[in-house]
Amino acid sequence: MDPAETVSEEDQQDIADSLAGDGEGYARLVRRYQDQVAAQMRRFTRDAVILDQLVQDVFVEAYMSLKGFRGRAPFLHWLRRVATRVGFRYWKSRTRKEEREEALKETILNLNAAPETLTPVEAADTLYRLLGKLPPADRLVLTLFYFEQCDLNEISTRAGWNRALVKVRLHRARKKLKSLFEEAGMGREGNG
Amino acid sequence: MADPLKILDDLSARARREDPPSMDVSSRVLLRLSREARAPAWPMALVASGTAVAAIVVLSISLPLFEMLTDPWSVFFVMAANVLP
Repeated sequence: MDPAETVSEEDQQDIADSLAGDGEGYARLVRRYQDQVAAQMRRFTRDAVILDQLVQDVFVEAYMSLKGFRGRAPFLHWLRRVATRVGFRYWKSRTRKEEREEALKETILNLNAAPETLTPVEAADTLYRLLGKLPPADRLVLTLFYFEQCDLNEISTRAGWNRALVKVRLHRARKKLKSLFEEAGMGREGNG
Repeated sequence: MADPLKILDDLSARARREDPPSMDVSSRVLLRLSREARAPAWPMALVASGTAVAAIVVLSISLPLFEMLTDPWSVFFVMAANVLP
């Protein structure tokens, strides 16, 4: 088996220590992966305080289900699934339809500025606001596909949806995004 | 005008270049976990026993009442048998 596809020895040891009640073992796991988890959770919020809270939530939830970690894939892969679940739940709890529709047109019209002129932070903010106009499931599938560059299998694993559902959701989400642009008068010219 | 999916692609490519955030949540995570581990189990036990008592009270009232409505004579004779020496 490819070593990149298995749990590293230090992770195995820290997981065993954590399950035996050694807090320092789990602290080592947290410190090892917190930056990667934080980078992922920043797709779910741009607010630093909420980001901190969400990263904590991921590790608390991961600890609670650590017994269920089978060790068939690297710990980070499993952690990313937990993070996706936490982020998606956060979106579902926060996103109200009115909030999504609010200022929809402005966000799209602001995209008149070409993406290549934006700084990475501005691009991430714009992308966050733009996808925030969609319902949580559509937002998640587009975030994972475009932002995180996950393929259909990876989206299926992370979101816990089957592959066919991911395909359908991705298709619908793209269609919704296009219609949002068209509503804002920014649809693609012609039919190509 | 550009294709929305092309815009999405370009924005994502740029956004991925954002510097990753750096934070240390390990102590706060451990604090939260220790708080949860220390949370006493008695509130759950209290709720469970309260629910059980409430269920017994409801049943002890509703069952005789139901019997009284469906078969008043048998209730009358039972009560009479208890009163008579």
